[in-house]
Amino acid sequence: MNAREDAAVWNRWYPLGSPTDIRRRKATKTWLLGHDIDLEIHKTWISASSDSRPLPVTERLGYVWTSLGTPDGPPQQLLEYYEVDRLVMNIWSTPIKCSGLRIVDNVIDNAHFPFLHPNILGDDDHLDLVPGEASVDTAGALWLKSQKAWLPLTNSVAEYTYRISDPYSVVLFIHRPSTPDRYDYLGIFTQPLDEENFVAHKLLAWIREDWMDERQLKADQQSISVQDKYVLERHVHKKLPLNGAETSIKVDSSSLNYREWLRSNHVTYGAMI
Amino acid sequence: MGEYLEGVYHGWRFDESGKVMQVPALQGRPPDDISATVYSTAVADGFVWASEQECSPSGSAGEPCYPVHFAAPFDQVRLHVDANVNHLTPWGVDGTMVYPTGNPVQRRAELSAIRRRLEES
Repeated sequence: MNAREDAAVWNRWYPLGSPTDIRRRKATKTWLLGHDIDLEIHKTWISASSDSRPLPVTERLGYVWTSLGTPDGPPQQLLEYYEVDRLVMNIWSTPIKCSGLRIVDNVIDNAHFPFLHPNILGDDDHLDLVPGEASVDTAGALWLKSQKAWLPLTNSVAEYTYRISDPYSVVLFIHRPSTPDRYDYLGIFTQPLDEENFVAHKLLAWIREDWMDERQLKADQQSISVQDKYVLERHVHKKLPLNGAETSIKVDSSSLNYREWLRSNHVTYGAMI
Repeated sequence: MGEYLEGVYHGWRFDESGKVMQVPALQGRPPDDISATVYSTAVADGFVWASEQECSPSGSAGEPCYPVHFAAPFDQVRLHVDANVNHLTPWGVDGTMVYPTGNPVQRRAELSAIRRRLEES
């Protein structure tokens, strides 16, 4: 389908990559929602156009964002990203061969931790799943709260909150027992190239601690993403089924809530309906 | 061969008829009967093959028999999961060159070796 027909997807902001990467690669071309995007690198900014039509461009959260449609505001915000005591970086921008909706569905799913990330994000002794809470805020964003899962790295139960303000992206809040009112953040912002291909831009914004080694953190986060990439690219259906083509059970409540939210927002691009 | 087939993503176990035997997130069977489609399979040329009809991969050019899409070389289909091993891919850490893991020092060494080979070629 033509993305133009899906207002809920067309009129959003999407990241094209980190400005550092774009400059280093001297990139002149990329894709978004099935359209060619031409990039031009200037001294202090980067501009984008599609079929010679200039596109709005803004830099935020370490990425260059653009939109093919007419968004009703700036890209999604995460003010905490700019706090001075945070370590922030782009983990990577990697192409993955399936619908970008699939990775959001994957990030919010705690049931796969013991199998796909054994002994990292889950293990065989803690397989049961506690359902969390779901709510939609006044701005229309979907919040999944109190998502608890066993975390072998810390030998304790970790708590996560997910914020989905755009169909194609998710921000993960990692609860910190030592500072209950502050979180560590991971963001997955996808750049859908077409319905069955996307680039995953993964952001990290953690409160800096002594033990942190930037290269190590980056490598570890990439290893975890690679494990997810393995299953993401091996689904029978490349698009995300909103029609019952896949079997879900009650315990997959996050996934069911996300899919319901997509349906109520009339998202069809990259989905099976 | 084995008694069940286990999914790599959520660990659901299916019996020979395709019925779900176990859902780990529920610590048991799901309340409803859930089944997967069962295909005829065969092992040949080191690959697992599957087909909607009776499957015979030898001399099967043009026949509706295809290697299963995750194209698992037979000896790499895991019969047992060793929970102590970090299975980055189903064939473990040692067998993969695409995604080197392990400790960062070793990983850096592997990556620079690859980079050197690329530069030489």
